[in-house]
Amino acid sequence: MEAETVLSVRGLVRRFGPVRAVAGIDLDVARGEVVALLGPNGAGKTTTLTCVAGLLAPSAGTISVAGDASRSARERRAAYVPEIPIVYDDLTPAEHLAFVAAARGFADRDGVVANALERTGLSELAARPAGTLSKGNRQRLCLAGALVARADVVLLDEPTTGLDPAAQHALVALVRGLAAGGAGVVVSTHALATAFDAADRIVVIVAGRIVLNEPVARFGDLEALRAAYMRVAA
Amino acid sequence: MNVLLRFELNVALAALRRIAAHPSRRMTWAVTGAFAVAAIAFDVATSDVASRDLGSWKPSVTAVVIVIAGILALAAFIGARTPLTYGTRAADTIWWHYAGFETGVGQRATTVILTARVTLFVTLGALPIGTLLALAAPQRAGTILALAAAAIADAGDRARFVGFCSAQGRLVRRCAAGRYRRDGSA
Repeated sequence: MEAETVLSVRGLVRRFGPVRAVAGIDLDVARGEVVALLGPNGAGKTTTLTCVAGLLAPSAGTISVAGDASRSARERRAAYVPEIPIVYDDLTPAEHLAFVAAARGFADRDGVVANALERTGLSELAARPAGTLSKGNRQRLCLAGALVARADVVLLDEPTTGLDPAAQHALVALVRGLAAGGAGVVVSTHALATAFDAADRIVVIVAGRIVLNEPVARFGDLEALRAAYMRVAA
Repeated sequence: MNVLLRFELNVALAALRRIAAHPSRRMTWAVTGAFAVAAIAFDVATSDVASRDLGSWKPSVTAVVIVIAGILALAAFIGARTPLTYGTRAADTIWWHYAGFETGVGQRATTVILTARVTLFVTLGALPIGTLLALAAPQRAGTILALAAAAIADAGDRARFVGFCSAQGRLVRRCAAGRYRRDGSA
């Protein structure tokens, strides 16, 4: 049985004045699927993600999250983790998550928060001001927020930039965990190894258009992925 | 109470707790506060009678009410029209999405928050220095308006707000040093 499509993008265009940053993108992401968005700098990856997240209005095209094409649905059901994870410096991770849980109206808030902290490995840091956390831990905190929100679609922008290899490995495991929980995950990255390890499908964007969209299994190994990427993106 | 308002309060209290707990911040704010009080006291004590009776500037009650109402209306207007992704804490953009709030224009809860922030910053930030400038140099109404505009533009952005306070501090020092004379010249 085919998995339910949780994110459907059709004919997405985003212009900034005369520049077409995204020039007509069609993309489907299934529940439980991780899609890696690759492409050179300025290809339109971040613009695509922010449009999907509802942070930027598309110039044309439709974006449906769990079958709902309204911007309101994108704002409520898609969680965006930016390249530089943004947190409230003075709040603790537990306070961040308690806010999300309270706003979402969960009855067992403490349980939901404790579960998210545990899954992201932040339990021991739960009472520290978030401003004192490392970049990797802030990223985990944002992912924990997405977990508590039970987002249908999770969008990560360059999540491994600036992380050490161990933190990158942990992040890949977390991304896989989010997908296993039923979310559709889109990861924008320049790291081919991260894409190969984390993703089920590779999508390459060049000049605002998709030039490659293949299951990761098609590539066999990282070298094959690298060769394919260089062929279409170089 | 609305969960967003409670959270807003929580953020403010956490910031205050951190300021109180952090030795260098505590020192910075204590020194800044003490300096501001001393500067105002110095200005009042050393100025002539004009400073204490508002000089030739005798606003009517109606004028004061109109000014206050105008500032509140401006704050409410901005709160109603501006998405919270603009000019406020960057973290709101991300975390309010996680919380399921729509941060687009016209959302009631977010409008209340932004209006409250703008009003607070205008009141706490611009009005005291505005009053001081009015005492010292009533001709400087343009400066008062510029400060109010700066406070609105910076509402919610703590880092820039600290910079704004610092700019206010410089003005207070200049007033205290008598660089704004009674005739309004600098």
